[in-house]
Amino acid sequence: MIYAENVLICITVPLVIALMFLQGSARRFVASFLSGMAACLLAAYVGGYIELISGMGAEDTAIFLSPIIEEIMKLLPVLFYLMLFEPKDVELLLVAVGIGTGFATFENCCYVLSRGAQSLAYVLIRGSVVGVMHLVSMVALSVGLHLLKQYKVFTVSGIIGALSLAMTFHATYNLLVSKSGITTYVGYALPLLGALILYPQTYHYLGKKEERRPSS
Amino acid sequence: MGYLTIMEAFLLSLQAAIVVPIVISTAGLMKKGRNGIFPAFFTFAMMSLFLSDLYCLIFCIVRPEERMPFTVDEIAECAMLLLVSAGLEALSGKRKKWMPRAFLFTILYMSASIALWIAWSGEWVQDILFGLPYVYLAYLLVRGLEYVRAWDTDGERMLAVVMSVGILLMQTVMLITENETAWNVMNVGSYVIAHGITAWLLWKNYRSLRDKSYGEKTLYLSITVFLWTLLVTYMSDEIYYNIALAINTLTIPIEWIAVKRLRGETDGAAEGMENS
Repeated sequence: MIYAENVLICITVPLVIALMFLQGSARRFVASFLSGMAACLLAAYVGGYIELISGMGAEDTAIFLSPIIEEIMKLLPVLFYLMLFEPKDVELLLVAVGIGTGFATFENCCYVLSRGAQSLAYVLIRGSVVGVMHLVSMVALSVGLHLLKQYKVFTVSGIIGALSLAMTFHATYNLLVSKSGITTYVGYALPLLGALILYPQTYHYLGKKEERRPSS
Repeated sequence: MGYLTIMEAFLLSLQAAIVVPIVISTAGLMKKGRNGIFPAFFTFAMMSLFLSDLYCLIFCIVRPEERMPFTVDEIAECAMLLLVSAGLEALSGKRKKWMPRAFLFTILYMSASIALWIAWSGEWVQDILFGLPYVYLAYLLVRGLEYVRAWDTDGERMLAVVMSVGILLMQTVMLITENETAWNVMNVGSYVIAHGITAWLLWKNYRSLRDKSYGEKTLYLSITVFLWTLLVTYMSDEIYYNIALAINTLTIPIEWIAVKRLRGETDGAAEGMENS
Protein backbone atom coordinates (compact mmCIF):
# COMPACT_ATOMS: atom_id res chain seq x y z
CA MET A 1 0.00 0.00 0.00
CA ILE A 2 1.25 3.49 -0.78
CA TYR A 3 0.06 6.81 0.61
CA ALA A 4 -0.87 8.67 -2.57
CA GLU A 5 -1.41 11.97 -0.71
CA ASN A 6 2.14 11.84 0.67
CA VAL A 7 3.53 11.14 -2.79
CA LEU A 8 1.55 14.09 -4.12
CA ILE A 9 2.88 16.43 -1.42
CA CYS A 10 6.42 15.26 -2.07
CA ILE A 11 6.18 16.05 -5.79
CA THR A 12 4.11 19.22 -5.60
CA VAL A 13 6.03 21.20 -2.95
CA PRO A 14 9.04 22.03 -5.19
CA LEU A 15 6.71 22.78 -8.09
CA VAL A 16 4.57 25.10 -5.98
CA ILE A 17 7.70 26.96 -4.86
CA ALA A 18 8.91 27.03 -8.48
CA LEU A 19 5.71 28.90 -9.40
CA MET A 20 7.02 31.95 -7.50
CA PHE A 21 10.05 32.17 -9.77
CA LEU A 22 8.24 31.60 -13.05
CA GLN A 23 6.37 33.94 -15.36
CA GLY A 24 4.01 33.68 -18.34
CA SER A 25 3.50 30.39 -20.12
CA ALA A 26 6.08 28.51 -17.99
CA ARG A 27 4.10 29.41 -14.87
CA ARG A 28 0.84 28.47 -16.60
CA PHE A 29 2.28 25.09 -17.59
CA VAL A 30 3.52 24.26 -14.07
CA ALA A 31 0.18 25.34 -12.56
CA SER A 32 -1.74 23.14 -14.98
CA PHE A 33 0.70 20.28 -14.32
CA LEU A 34 -0.15 20.58 -10.61
CA SER A 35 -3.88 20.65 -11.45
CA GLY A 36 -3.43 17.46 -13.47
CA MET A 37 -1.83 15.70 -10.49
CA ALA A 38 -4.62 16.88 -8.17
CA ALA A 39 -7.20 15.70 -10.72
CA CYS A 40 -5.54 12.27 -10.74
CA LEU A 41 -5.82 11.95 -6.95
CA LEU A 42 -9.46 13.07 -7.01
CA ALA A 43 -10.21 10.60 -9.83
CA ALA A 44 -8.75 7.81 -7.68
CA TYR A 45 -11.03 8.80 -4.76
CA VAL A 46 -14.13 8.96 -6.98
CA GLY A 47 -13.19 5.71 -8.74
CA GLY A 48 -12.76 3.92 -5.42
CA TYR A 49 -16.13 5.16 -4.23
CA ILE A 50 -17.91 4.15 -7.45
CA GLU A 51 -16.27 0.73 -7.35
CA LEU A 52 -17.69 0.28 -3.86
CA ILE A 53 -21.26 1.36 -4.68
CA SER A 54 -21.53 -0.18 -8.17
CA GLY A 55 -20.49 -3.63 -7.07
CA MET A 56 -18.29 -4.04 -10.16
CA GLY A 57 -14.96 -5.72 -9.57
CA ALA A 58 -11.71 -3.73 -9.46
CA GLU A 59 -10.73 -4.92 -12.96
CA ASP A 60 -14.08 -4.08 -14.57
CA THR A 61 -14.10 -0.68 -12.87
CA ALA A 62 -10.62 0.03 -14.22
CA ILE A 63 -11.57 -1.05 -17.74
CA PHE A 64 -15.07 0.37 -18.09
CA LEU A 65 -15.59 3.14 -15.54
CA SER A 66 -12.21 4.73 -14.91
CA PRO A 67 -11.98 6.30 -18.42
CA ILE A 68 -15.26 8.08 -17.73
CA ILE A 69 -14.20 9.32 -14.28
CA GLU A 70 -10.66 10.29 -15.28
CA GLU A 71 -11.67 12.20 -18.39
CA ILE A 72 -14.33 14.12 -16.46
CA MET A 73 -11.76 15.01 -13.77
CA LYS A 74 -9.31 16.19 -16.45
CA LEU A 75 -12.01 18.17 -18.28
CA LEU A 76 -13.05 20.18 -15.21
CA PRO A 77 -9.85 22.29 -14.83
CA VAL A 78 -9.72 22.88 -18.61
CA LEU A 79 -13.34 24.00 -18.61
CA PHE A 80 -12.74 26.19 -15.58
CA TYR A 81 -9.77 27.84 -17.30
CA LEU A 82 -11.65 28.23 -20.58
CA MET A 83 -14.68 29.87 -19.01
CA LEU A 84 -12.83 32.08 -16.55
CA PHE A 85 -9.92 33.35 -18.63
CA GLU A 86 -11.13 32.98 -22.26
CA PRO A 87 -7.62 31.95 -23.38
CA LYS A 88 -6.10 32.00 -26.87
CA ASP A 89 -5.93 28.66 -28.71
CA VAL A 90 -2.22 28.14 -27.96
CA GLU A 91 -2.75 28.86 -24.27
CA LEU A 92 -5.63 26.37 -24.09
CA LEU A 93 -3.45 23.71 -25.67
CA LEU A 94 -0.62 24.48 -23.25
CA VAL A 95 -2.93 24.09 -20.24
CA ALA A 96 -4.44 20.87 -21.64
CA VAL A 97 -0.97 19.42 -22.22
CA GLY A 98 0.06 20.44 -18.68
CA ILE A 99 -2.99 18.75 -17.13
CA GLY A 100 -2.51 15.61 -19.23
CA THR A 101 1.17 15.23 -18.36
CA GLY A 102 0.58 16.05 -14.68
CA PHE A 103 -2.14 13.41 -14.52
CA ALA A 104 0.00 10.82 -16.30
CA THR A 105 3.09 11.57 -14.18
CA PHE A 106 1.28 11.18 -10.88
CA GLU A 107 -0.53 8.04 -12.03
CA ASN A 108 2.76 6.51 -13.20
CA CYS A 109 4.50 7.44 -9.92
CA CYS A 110 1.82 5.73 -7.83
CA TYR A 111 1.70 2.71 -10.15
CA VAL A 112 5.46 2.20 -10.15
CA LEU A 113 5.70 2.72 -6.38
CA SER A 114 3.01 0.12 -5.72
CA ARG A 115 4.10 -2.45 -8.34
CA GLY A 116 7.87 -1.98 -8.36
CA ALA A 117 10.18 -0.65 -11.06
CA GLN A 118 12.59 -3.54 -11.52
CA SER A 119 11.73 -4.29 -15.14
CA LEU A 120 12.99 -1.61 -17.53
CA ALA A 121 10.77 -2.89 -20.36
CA TYR A 122 7.68 -2.60 -18.18
CA VAL A 123 8.58 0.90 -17.01
CA LEU A 124 9.24 2.00 -20.60
CA ILE A 125 5.88 0.67 -21.78
CA ARG A 126 4.12 2.26 -18.84
CA GLY A 127 5.78 5.62 -19.46
CA SER A 128 5.52 5.77 -23.21
CA VAL A 129 2.03 4.31 -23.57
CA VAL A 130 -0.11 5.30 -20.58
CA GLY A 131 1.63 8.65 -20.28
CA VAL A 132 1.10 9.43 -23.96
CA MET A 133 -2.50 8.21 -23.81
CA HIS A 134 -3.44 10.83 -21.17
CA LEU A 135 -1.62 13.48 -23.15
CA VAL A 136 -3.30 12.57 -26.45
CA SER A 137 -6.78 12.45 -24.94
CA MET A 138 -6.24 15.93 -23.47
CA VAL A 139 -4.92 17.36 -26.74
CA ALA A 140 -7.92 15.85 -28.56
CA LEU A 141 -10.25 17.34 -25.96
CA SER A 142 -8.70 20.80 -26.24
CA VAL A 143 -8.82 20.66 -30.05
CA GLY A 144 -12.48 19.60 -29.81
CA LEU A 145 -13.30 22.46 -27.42
CA HIS A 146 -11.43 24.88 -29.63
CA LEU A 147 -13.37 23.75 -32.72
CA LEU A 148 -16.64 24.11 -30.82
CA LYS A 149 -15.70 27.71 -30.00
CA GLN A 150 -14.60 28.42 -33.54
CA TYR A 151 -17.82 27.17 -35.09
CA LYS A 152 -19.90 28.85 -32.36
CA VAL A 153 -21.36 25.57 -31.15
CA PHE A 154 -19.90 25.79 -27.66
CA THR A 155 -22.96 24.36 -25.90
CA VAL A 156 -23.47 21.71 -23.20
CA SER A 157 -24.13 19.09 -25.87
CA GLY A 158 -21.00 20.17 -27.72
CA ILE A 159 -18.89 19.83 -24.56
CA ILE A 160 -20.36 16.37 -23.90
CA GLY A 161 -19.51 15.49 -27.51
CA ALA A 162 -15.87 16.56 -27.09
CA LEU A 163 -15.68 14.79 -23.73
CA SER A 164 -17.09 11.57 -25.19
CA LEU A 165 -14.34 11.74 -27.83
CA ALA A 166 -11.64 11.73 -25.14
CA MET A 167 -13.47 9.12 -23.05
CA THR A 168 -13.92 6.70 -25.95
CA PHE A 169 -10.27 7.00 -26.94
CA HIS A 170 -9.18 6.26 -23.36
CA ALA A 171 -11.70 3.43 -22.93
CA THR A 172 -10.72 1.85 -26.25
CA TYR A 173 -7.10 1.70 -25.04
CA ASN A 174 -8.17 0.18 -21.69
CA LEU A 175 -10.34 -2.42 -23.43
CA LEU A 176 -7.61 -3.40 -25.89
CA VAL A 177 -4.97 -3.95 -23.21
CA SER A 178 -7.38 -5.77 -20.88
CA LYS A 179 -6.76 -9.11 -22.64
CA SER A 180 -3.33 -10.44 -23.47
CA GLY A 181 -2.44 -11.22 -27.08
CA ILE A 182 -2.40 -9.24 -30.28
CA THR A 183 -5.00 -6.75 -29.02
CA THR A 184 -2.60 -5.64 -26.26
CA TYR A 185 -0.02 -4.61 -28.87
CA VAL A 186 -2.69 -2.77 -30.86
CA GLY A 187 -3.62 -1.03 -27.59
CA TYR A 188 0.01 -0.03 -26.98
CA ALA A 189 0.27 1.37 -30.50
CA LEU A 190 -2.97 3.39 -30.21
CA PRO A 191 -1.71 6.34 -28.07
CA LEU A 192 1.49 6.65 -30.09
CA LEU A 193 -0.50 6.57 -33.33
CA GLY A 194 -2.86 9.20 -31.87
CA ALA A 195 0.09 11.41 -30.97
CA LEU A 196 1.58 11.02 -34.46
CA ILE A 197 -1.73 11.98 -36.09
CA LEU A 198 -2.50 14.87 -33.74
CA TYR A 199 0.96 16.45 -33.63
CA PRO A 200 1.22 17.73 -37.23
CA GLN A 201 -2.51 18.57 -37.44
CA THR A 202 -2.52 20.63 -34.25
CA TYR A 203 0.68 22.53 -34.86
CA HIS A 204 -0.02 23.16 -38.54
CA TYR A 205 -3.41 24.58 -37.63
CA LEU A 206 -2.22 26.66 -34.68
CA GLY A 207 0.76 27.90 -36.69
CA LYS A 208 -1.60 29.11 -39.42
CA LYS A 209 -3.75 30.91 -36.86
CA GLU A 210 -0.72 32.62 -35.33
CA GLU A 211 0.37 33.82 -38.80
CA ARG A 212 -3.07 35.31 -39.44
CA ARG A 213 -3.14 37.11 -36.09
CA PRO A 214 -2.05 40.77 -36.46
CA SER A 215 1.16 41.53 -34.56
CA SER A 216 0.67 43.82 -31.60
CA MET B 1 -17.28 -16.53 -31.43
CA GLY B 2 -20.75 -17.36 -32.77
CA TYR B 3 -21.99 -16.45 -36.25
CA LEU B 4 -24.27 -13.73 -34.80
CA THR B 5 -21.30 -12.03 -33.13
CA ILE B 6 -19.28 -12.26 -36.36
CA MET B 7 -22.21 -10.77 -38.26
CA GLU B 8 -22.56 -7.99 -35.67
CA ALA B 9 -18.83 -7.24 -35.88
CA PHE B 10 -19.07 -7.09 -39.67
CA LEU B 11 -22.06 -4.73 -39.55
CA LEU B 12 -20.35 -2.49 -36.99
CA SER B 13 -17.24 -2.29 -39.18
CA LEU B 14 -19.44 -1.51 -42.17
CA GLN B 15 -21.20 1.27 -40.25
CA ALA B 16 -17.87 2.69 -39.06
CA ALA B 17 -16.51 2.52 -42.64
CA ILE B 18 -19.57 4.39 -43.93
CA VAL B 19 -19.34 7.05 -41.21
CA VAL B 20 -15.67 7.98 -41.91
CA PRO B 21 -16.21 9.50 -45.40
CA ILE B 22 -19.39 11.15 -44.11
CA VAL B 23 -17.40 12.85 -41.31
CA ILE B 24 -14.82 14.04 -43.86
CA SER B 25 -17.51 15.32 -46.21
CA THR B 26 -19.56 17.14 -43.55
CA ALA B 27 -16.36 18.62 -42.07
CA GLY B 28 -15.87 20.14 -45.53
CA LEU B 29 -19.42 21.52 -45.46
CA MET B 30 -18.75 22.87 -41.96
CA LYS B 31 -15.66 24.75 -43.18
CA LYS B 32 -17.45 26.21 -46.19
CA GLY B 33 -20.25 27.38 -43.90
CA ARG B 34 -22.81 27.60 -46.71
CA ASN B 35 -25.14 25.05 -45.13
CA GLY B 36 -25.60 26.97 -41.93
CA ILE B 37 -24.64 25.71 -38.51
CA PHE B 38 -26.14 22.21 -38.70
CA PRO B 39 -23.19 20.47 -40.45
CA ALA B 40 -20.92 21.48 -37.53
CA PHE B 41 -23.15 19.65 -35.04
CA PHE B 42 -23.65 16.78 -37.45
CA THR B 43 -19.89 16.29 -37.95
CA PHE B 44 -19.31 16.00 -34.19
CA ALA B 45 -22.35 13.71 -33.89
CA MET B 46 -20.99 11.38 -36.57
CA MET B 47 -17.58 11.36 -34.88
CA SER B 48 -19.30 10.22 -31.68
CA LEU B 49 -21.15 7.51 -33.63
CA PHE B 50 -17.90 6.35 -35.21
CA LEU B 51 -16.16 6.06 -31.82
CA SER B 52 -19.16 4.27 -30.33
CA ASP B 53 -19.10 1.77 -33.23
CA LEU B 54 -15.35 1.29 -32.89
CA TYR B 55 -15.67 0.60 -29.18
CA CYS B 56 -18.52 -1.91 -29.70
CA LEU B 57 -16.53 -3.60 -32.46
CA ILE B 58 -13.47 -4.00 -30.23
CA PHE B 59 -15.70 -5.28 -27.42
CA CYS B 60 -17.17 -7.88 -29.83
CA ILE B 61 -13.64 -9.05 -30.70
CA VAL B 62 -12.00 -8.89 -27.26
CA ARG B 63 -14.92 -10.12 -25.16
CA PRO B 64 -17.31 -12.09 -27.41
CA GLU B 65 -20.47 -13.51 -25.84
CA GLU B 66 -20.18 -11.14 -22.85
CA ARG B 67 -22.94 -8.63 -22.13
CA MET B 68 -21.52 -5.15 -22.32
CA PRO B 69 -21.77 -3.33 -18.98
CA PHE B 70 -22.41 0.40 -18.68
CA THR B 71 -19.56 1.99 -20.56
CA VAL B 72 -18.46 4.83 -22.82
CA ASP B 73 -20.30 3.71 -25.96
CA GLU B 74 -23.56 4.75 -24.30
CA ILE B 75 -22.08 8.16 -23.48
CA ALA B 76 -20.89 8.51 -27.09
CA GLU B 77 -24.37 7.58 -28.35
CA CYS B 78 -26.00 10.10 -26.01
CA ALA B 79 -23.50 12.75 -27.12
CA MET B 80 -24.48 11.99 -30.73
CA LEU B 81 -28.19 12.42 -29.98
CA LEU B 82 -27.58 15.62 -27.98
CA LEU B 83 -25.45 17.08 -30.77
CA VAL B 84 -28.11 16.33 -33.38
CA SER B 85 -30.73 17.84 -31.04
CA ALA B 86 -28.64 20.98 -30.55
CA GLY B 87 -28.23 21.20 -34.33
CA LEU B 88 -31.99 20.96 -34.84
CA GLU B 89 -32.59 23.60 -32.15
CA ALA B 90 -30.12 25.90 -33.91
CA LEU B 91 -31.76 25.16 -37.25
CA SER B 92 -35.25 26.01 -36.04
CA GLY B 93 -33.87 29.34 -34.72
CA LYS B 94 -36.57 31.93 -34.22
CA ARG B 95 -39.31 29.55 -35.29
CA LYS B 96 -39.02 27.53 -32.08
CA LYS B 97 -42.40 27.21 -30.48
CA TRP B 98 -43.84 25.13 -27.70
CA MET B 99 -46.05 22.31 -28.98
CA PRO B 100 -47.84 20.72 -25.98
CA ARG B 101 -49.44 17.96 -28.06
CA ALA B 102 -46.08 16.84 -29.46
CA PHE B 103 -44.46 17.11 -26.02
CA LEU B 104 -47.18 15.05 -24.33
CA PHE B 105 -47.03 12.31 -26.97
CA THR B 106 -43.23 12.15 -26.80
CA ILE B 107 -43.12 12.04 -23.01
CA LEU B 108 -45.73 9.28 -22.81
CA TYR B 109 -44.28 7.24 -25.66
CA MET B 110 -40.65 7.47 -24.60
CA SER B 111 -41.47 6.93 -20.91
CA ALA B 112 -43.26 3.72 -21.84
CA SER B 113 -40.25 2.69 -23.99
CA ILE B 114 -37.84 3.42 -21.12
CA ALA B 115 -40.06 1.41 -18.75
CA LEU B 116 -39.80 -1.53 -21.16
CA TRP B 117 -36.00 -1.14 -21.35
CA ILE B 118 -35.86 -1.21 -17.54
CA ALA B 119 -38.11 -4.28 -17.41
CA TRP B 120 -35.78 -6.02 -19.85
CA SER B 121 -32.40 -4.98 -18.43
CA GLY B 122 -33.16 -4.12 -14.79
CA GLU B 123 -30.87 -1.07 -15.03
CA TRP B 124 -32.98 1.71 -13.54
CA VAL B 125 -30.65 4.69 -13.24
CA GLN B 126 -28.84 3.99 -16.48
CA ASP B 127 -31.98 3.60 -18.59
CA ILE B 128 -33.68 6.69 -17.15
CA LEU B 129 -30.58 8.89 -17.37
CA PHE B 130 -29.60 7.77 -20.86
CA GLY B 131 -33.23 7.78 -22.03
CA LEU B 132 -33.46 11.56 -21.58
CA PRO B 133 -31.56 12.49 -24.78
CA TYR B 134 -33.91 10.17 -26.69
CA VAL B 135 -36.92 11.99 -25.23
CA TYR B 136 -35.43 15.37 -26.16
CA LEU B 137 -34.58 14.40 -29.75
CA ALA B 138 -37.91 12.61 -30.23
CA TYR B 139 -39.77 15.77 -29.12
CA LEU B 140 -37.78 17.96 -31.52
CA LEU B 141 -38.52 15.53 -34.35
CA VAL B 142 -42.24 15.24 -33.64
CA ARG B 143 -42.43 19.05 -33.44
CA GLY B 144 -40.26 19.47 -36.55
CA LEU B 145 -42.28 16.98 -38.60
CA GLU B 146 -45.37 19.05 -37.84
CA TYR B 147 -43.61 22.24 -38.79
CA VAL B 148 -42.28 20.95 -42.13
CA ARG B 149 -45.63 19.29 -42.87
CA ALA B 150 -44.11 15.87 -43.30
CA TRP B 151 -47.47 14.13 -42.91
CA ASP B 152 -49.54 14.33 -46.09
CA THR B 153 -52.85 13.87 -44.29
CA ASP B 154 -54.21 13.74 -40.73
CA GLY B 155 -54.95 10.06 -41.31
CA GLU B 156 -51.29 9.40 -42.05
CA ARG B 157 -50.25 11.08 -38.80
CA MET B 158 -52.84 9.09 -36.86
CA LEU B 159 -51.67 5.84 -38.48
CA ALA B 160 -48.08 6.57 -37.40
CA VAL B 161 -49.25 7.12 -33.81
CA VAL B 162 -51.42 3.98 -33.75
CA MET B 163 -48.70 1.75 -35.22
CA SER B 164 -45.97 2.97 -32.88
CA VAL B 165 -48.21 2.66 -29.82
CA GLY B 166 -49.28 -0.79 -31.07
CA ILE B 167 -45.67 -2.01 -30.83
CA LEU B 168 -45.42 -0.82 -27.25
CA LEU B 169 -48.61 -2.69 -26.34
CA MET B 170 -47.38 -5.86 -28.03
CA GLN B 171 -44.02 -5.66 -26.23
CA THR B 172 -45.88 -5.16 -22.92
CA VAL B 173 -48.03 -8.24 -23.58
CA MET B 174 -44.83 -10.21 -24.32
CA LEU B 175 -43.50 -9.24 -20.89
CA ILE B 176 -46.55 -10.37 -18.96
CA THR B 177 -47.91 -13.31 -20.92
CA GLU B 178 -46.98 -16.89 -20.10
CA ASN B 179 -48.69 -18.29 -23.17
CA GLU B 180 -46.03 -19.29 -25.71
CA THR B 181 -48.29 -18.93 -28.76
CA ALA B 182 -49.39 -15.45 -27.72
CA TRP B 183 -45.75 -14.52 -27.09
CA ASN B 184 -44.70 -15.70 -30.56
CA VAL B 185 -47.60 -13.90 -32.27
CA MET B 186 -46.78 -10.66 -30.44
CA ASN B 187 -43.08 -11.02 -31.18
CA VAL B 188 -43.56 -11.51 -34.93
CA GLY B 189 -46.32 -8.87 -34.99
CA SER B 190 -44.14 -6.22 -33.36
CA TYR B 191 -41.25 -6.88 -35.77
CA VAL B 192 -43.62 -6.68 -38.75
CA ILE B 193 -45.07 -3.35 -37.58
CA ALA B 194 -41.64 -1.94 -36.61
CA HIS B 195 -40.12 -2.75 -39.98
CA GLY B 196 -43.36 -1.67 -41.68
CA ILE B 197 -42.94 1.80 -40.14
CA THR B 198 -39.28 1.78 -41.20
CA ALA B 199 -40.25 0.94 -44.80
CA TRP B 200 -42.89 3.66 -44.77
CA LEU B 201 -40.43 6.26 -43.43
CA LEU B 202 -37.82 5.17 -45.99
CA TRP B 203 -40.44 5.60 -48.74
CA LYS B 204 -41.24 9.10 -47.45
CA ASN B 205 -37.52 9.89 -47.44
CA TYR B 206 -37.17 8.62 -50.99
CA ARG B 207 -40.09 10.74 -52.13
CA SER B 208 -38.73 13.78 -50.36
CA LEU B 209 -35.30 13.31 -51.96
CA ARG B 210 -36.74 12.63 -55.42
CA ASP B 211 -39.09 15.62 -55.30
CA LYS B 212 -36.20 17.80 -54.14
CA SER B 213 -38.40 18.94 -51.25
CA TYR B 214 -36.83 21.74 -49.30
CA GLY B 215 -33.89 20.57 -47.21
CA GLU B 216 -35.36 20.88 -43.74
CA LYS B 217 -38.20 18.46 -44.52
CA THR B 218 -35.75 15.86 -45.87
CA LEU B 219 -33.50 16.41 -42.86
CA TYR B 220 -36.30 15.88 -40.32
CA LEU B 221 -37.52 12.78 -42.14
CA SER B 222 -34.02 11.29 -42.38
CA ILE B 223 -33.24 11.88 -38.70
CA THR B 224 -36.65 10.40 -37.81
CA VAL B 225 -35.94 7.19 -39.71
CA PHE B 226 -32.45 7.03 -38.14
CA LEU B 227 -33.82 7.41 -34.61
CA TRP B 228 -36.66 4.98 -35.30
CA THR B 229 -34.31 2.28 -36.59
CA LEU B 230 -32.04 2.87 -33.58
CA LEU B 231 -35.03 2.24 -31.29
CA VAL B 232 -35.88 -0.87 -33.31
CA THR B 233 -32.37 -2.25 -32.66
CA TYR B 234 -33.05 -1.90 -28.90
CA MET B 235 -36.24 -3.99 -29.12
CA SER B 236 -34.56 -6.65 -31.28
CA ASP B 237 -32.38 -9.58 -30.35
CA GLU B 238 -30.31 -12.25 -32.08
CA ILE B 239 -30.70 -12.22 -35.89
CA TYR B 240 -33.39 -9.49 -35.70
CA TYR B 241 -30.84 -7.23 -33.98
CA ASN B 242 -28.43 -7.61 -36.90
CA ILE B 243 -31.20 -6.94 -39.42
CA ALA B 244 -32.16 -3.78 -37.51
CA LEU B 245 -28.51 -2.72 -37.32
CA ALA B 246 -28.12 -3.16 -41.10
CA ILE B 247 -31.21 -1.01 -41.75
CA ASN B 248 -29.95 1.60 -39.26
CA THR B 249 -26.66 1.73 -41.21
CA LEU B 250 -28.61 2.33 -44.40
CA THR B 251 -30.24 5.45 -42.93
CA ILE B 252 -26.90 7.20 -42.24
CA PRO B 253 -26.12 8.04 -45.91
CA ILE B 254 -29.72 9.32 -46.23
CA GLU B 255 -29.01 11.72 -43.34
CA TRP B 256 -25.83 12.82 -45.07
CA ILE B 257 -27.67 13.57 -48.33
CA ALA B 258 -30.25 15.53 -46.35
CA VAL B 259 -27.51 17.59 -44.66
CA LYS B 260 -26.01 18.34 -48.08
CA ARG B 261 -29.48 19.44 -49.24
CA LEU B 262 -29.42 22.22 -46.68
CA ARG B 263 -27.04 24.01 -49.06
CA GLY B 264 -27.97 27.58 -49.94
CA GLU B 265 -31.17 27.45 -47.99
CA THR B 266 -32.30 30.46 -46.01
CA ASP B 267 -34.83 30.95 -43.26
CA GLY B 268 -36.97 32.78 -45.79
CA ALA B 269 -37.42 29.65 -47.92
CA ALA B 270 -38.58 27.65 -44.93
CA GLU B 271 -40.87 30.40 -43.75
CA GLY B 272 -42.28 30.57 -47.25
CA MET B 273 -43.19 26.88 -46.96
CA GLU B 274 -44.81 27.52 -43.61
CA ASN B 275 -46.93 30.33 -44.96
CA SER B 276 -47.95 28.53 -48.17
